[in-house]
Amino acid sequence: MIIRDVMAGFEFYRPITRPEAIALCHRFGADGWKLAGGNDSLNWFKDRIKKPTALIDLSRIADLTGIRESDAGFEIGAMTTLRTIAEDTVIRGGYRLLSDAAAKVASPQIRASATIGGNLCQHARCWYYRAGQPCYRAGGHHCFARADESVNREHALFDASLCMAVTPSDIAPALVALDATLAIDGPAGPRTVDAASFFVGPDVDVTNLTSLHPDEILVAIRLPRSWKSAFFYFEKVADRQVWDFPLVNVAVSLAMTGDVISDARIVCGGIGARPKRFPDVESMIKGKGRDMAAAAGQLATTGAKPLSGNGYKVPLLAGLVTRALREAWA
Amino acid sequence: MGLGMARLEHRVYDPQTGLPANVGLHQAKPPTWLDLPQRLSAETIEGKDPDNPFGMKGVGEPPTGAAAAAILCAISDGLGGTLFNRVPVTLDMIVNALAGLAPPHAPLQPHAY
Repeated sequence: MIIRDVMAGFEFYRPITRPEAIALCHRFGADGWKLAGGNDSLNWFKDRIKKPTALIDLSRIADLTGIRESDAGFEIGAMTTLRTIAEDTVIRGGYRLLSDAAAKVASPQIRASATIGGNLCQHARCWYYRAGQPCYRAGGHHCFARADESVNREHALFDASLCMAVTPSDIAPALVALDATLAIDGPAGPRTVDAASFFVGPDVDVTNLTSLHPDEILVAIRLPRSWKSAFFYFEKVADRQVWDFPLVNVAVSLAMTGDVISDARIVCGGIGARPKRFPDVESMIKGKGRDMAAAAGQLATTGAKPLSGNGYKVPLLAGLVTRALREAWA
Repeated sequence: MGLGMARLEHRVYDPQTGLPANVGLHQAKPPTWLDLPQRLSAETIEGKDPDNPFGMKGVGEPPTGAAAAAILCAISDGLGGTLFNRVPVTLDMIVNALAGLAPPHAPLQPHAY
């Protein structure tokens, strides 16, 4: 906490093929650190909160980068930068939800080097955790964010178990709302997992926000054709207009038949450890028109358990869901 | 100047651990280019300071108070007269005021040393 700007020593590996990278990840396990864009990693090292023995730089593995059309839809390499995704004409044309979300992350300078895989795998932003406190997420036995006097305006409303940290990603809710699947490669061979189950809450794993094992790497994000060119809406509310993490964000995909909503995905970030989907709200608005927006916003807040300092997220969430359903456009 | 003071910049300490909660520029949140109003106008009224032997006035700090007050007055006006009586007035305070929720911060109290 006190020593800043001086990193502890580590070995540095720069594999150029995927099997080499996986072998290195397997060798170092939890003591290895997969380096993507490096925007968040350096903060951890400089603050000496995370001290990996080896860095495995994934930036030279050619097949982890790029946007390709595949049989099932589109595939985005995990090391593709957020700027590339925000500006790509195919993504902007068919999956504008994702390009809008990518364009809202951090700042232009950071988006130029930050990768989609790094964004999805970043650690929680809970400041107690980042300050090196011995909390549940850091392997300890306490949550500092749940006391009445805690500084917890950025913490969870839903599904908090032990840990109160939230997902900091703008990309994650968009991927869940697009029914994306994530391709993972590891020593046991490749596997795919739904975006919705890639992210895990503290009830499943309190020390990780994702189900990616230390010896696996995220290879690609696959977007199915089912939501191509649907009605989309993405909005991020943060303290600042740029270079900030979301207090709450909302990603909505709507399939419209005339004025009637035939299918919907409503997903919010910043309110739980996982991007939170609202199945009750989705089934309520299915087969109805956009006049249900305000009621849907209210229903989304059902079950919210505000902490001492984050009660404002409840009306914020209701307002965002309402606006998303009113404003989503094709 | 004063825009970050009015809306964003805050010194937050945790009562449990005594640690500063917002370290670094992304947590201390000085305003970015997109947080500034599109049009800013400022004027100076020239006059001698009678308490200074040369009649001079400082030009470094005084504008922060004026700019912050202008923004806080605009926020209160927009909310129909809600007075926060503090800086910064952050997004969560405005949402709470609009939704009629109790503010998470304690009311103003006199220092009692």
